Amino acid sequence: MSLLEVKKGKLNLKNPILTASGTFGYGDEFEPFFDVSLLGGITIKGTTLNPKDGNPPPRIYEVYGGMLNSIGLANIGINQVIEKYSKYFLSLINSGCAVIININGEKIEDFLKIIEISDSTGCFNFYEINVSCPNVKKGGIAFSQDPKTMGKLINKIRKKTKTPIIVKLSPNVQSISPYVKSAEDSGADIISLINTMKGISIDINSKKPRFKNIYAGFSGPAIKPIALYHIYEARRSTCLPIIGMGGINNFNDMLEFFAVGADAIEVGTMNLVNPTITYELLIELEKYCENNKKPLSKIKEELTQWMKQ
Amino acid sequence: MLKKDISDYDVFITKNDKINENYYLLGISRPSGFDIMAGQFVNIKIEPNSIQPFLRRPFSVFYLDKYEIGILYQIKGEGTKLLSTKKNGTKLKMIGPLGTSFPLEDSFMKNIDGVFLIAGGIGIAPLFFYANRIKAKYEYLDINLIYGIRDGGFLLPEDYIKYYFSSIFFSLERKKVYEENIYSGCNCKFFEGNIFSALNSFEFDSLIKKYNNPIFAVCGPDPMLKAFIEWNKDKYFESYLSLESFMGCGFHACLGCAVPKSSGGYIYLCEEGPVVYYKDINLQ
Repeated sequence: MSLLEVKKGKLNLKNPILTASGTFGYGDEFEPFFDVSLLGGITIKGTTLNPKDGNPPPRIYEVYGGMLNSIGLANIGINQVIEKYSKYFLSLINSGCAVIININGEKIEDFLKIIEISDSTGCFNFYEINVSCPNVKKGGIAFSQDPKTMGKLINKIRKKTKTPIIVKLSPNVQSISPYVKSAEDSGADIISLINTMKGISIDINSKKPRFKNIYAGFSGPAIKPIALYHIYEARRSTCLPIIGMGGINNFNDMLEFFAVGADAIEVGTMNLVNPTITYELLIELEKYCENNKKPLSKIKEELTQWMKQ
Repeated sequence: MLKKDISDYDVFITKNDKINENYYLLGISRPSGFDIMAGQFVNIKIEPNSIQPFLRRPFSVFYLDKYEIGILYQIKGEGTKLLSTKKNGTKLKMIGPLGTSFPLEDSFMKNIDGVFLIAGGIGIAPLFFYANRIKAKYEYLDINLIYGIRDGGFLLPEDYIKYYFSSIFFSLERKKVYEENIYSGCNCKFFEGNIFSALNSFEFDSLIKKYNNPIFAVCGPDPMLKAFIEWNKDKYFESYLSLESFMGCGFHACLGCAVPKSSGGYIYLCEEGPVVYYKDINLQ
């Protein structure tokens, strides 16, 4: 068994380092910088049934400790994703790098159709159901308005496919526990969190919000403490595997996520700033395990000891 | 330029000089094997070990010599303000080369008999590099510069500008103060107002008539580009515009740098820009 292997429930990865949807394109954008297949997995851009133009500019604005984005799920649609990238995804899978598709829809049928198409290709290891995008008017976070609505969606998807389902949760809720429980009861295999937080920036010269949608998704190092809190809450609510993300910027950040119960982590916005960050984290983690002469599973056990006391 | 040529380079500052009241000239070490075309850009992390400022800053290239990449910049926000304080030897991270370039292929250039560069303020940077590249390959081609600046505090030192241009049309908001004092050796004309004071002049009209097949390369603030497209509506000059936008990654991972396409939807400036054909976009 490799030092870095992750094996918990349906979450089987060669290492715990993944990339967050929307920050890693389709993976091949990063090939000029490092061998992407070394990662535990990649999560591709949020995908819809039909191509989606996304929101009008501006879509990005830097704020202290991170950035706001209002991309609005711009993507080429599931059929073009398969057409353009299936060969690349299969090559990643053959190298042991999991490929996760982040699935979005305005209505339940959209999700089911994407899953039907995806199932027929075999080029995805996991389906990440996005019920937490804050930047679209229909779908997205609307499925997180209450745990019951979300559970209904997950339940229908569960009946449709045997591929492991990840549910990506929003931090824009009062308490995450009911959502975690609903996802689990409805047949989800894995929980991932957090998506971006809602945020606003005002241009004081024009006296107007910078984004046409008024609010946008806040991400980056500043949101890490909030992510850690929600993952801690989720960990106390479920035994399902958890993929944690939100503001990971360095090695110690990653260990903090393991310390609140994440089984694997995703790097998000930092990929845009430092395209080799996931590779650097992987090398550091490998060295850390070797120097400590312990597999990652043992290190995680020690890091989460405080939660059991 | 193939995507595989893109890399994240460790570079250092070779100079960082204030060259007029508003502009700085940054020199950075040119990595071995690094090349870039006129109009393309690099994305620079000003503080590689800090999360503040958070994102990289995109810059077009002003010149490229054997050991140095030249970047002309103006303080516009927190990132460029910090950059202006950096000393020689400071380490930076630089991703490049990124994006599209101005046309320079033989098949295209052989049909061209004159070039018009239209710069608004700091927009001179990629156009200056373009002029350099045109002259290196097609010495016989006339290059004319139409250069809109607020006042003399934005003028580049004469050394930077005198070699390439057959004629220079300056549009200055306060013309008279500077007219007599600048660029003694060049074939300069001075106009008061924005670039259209030059473009709509009798002198420009006489000049443009000399060419049967000119191209225009334009770089400046969005309102200027929009007005240029409007001006060109009944003239149909072949024009290439260099645009700017807030940018997340610079290499097409985040889709943050969207600009509306004339046919609907968006193009992304990091990959399908920053240099675009004037008919392809719909500036709003």
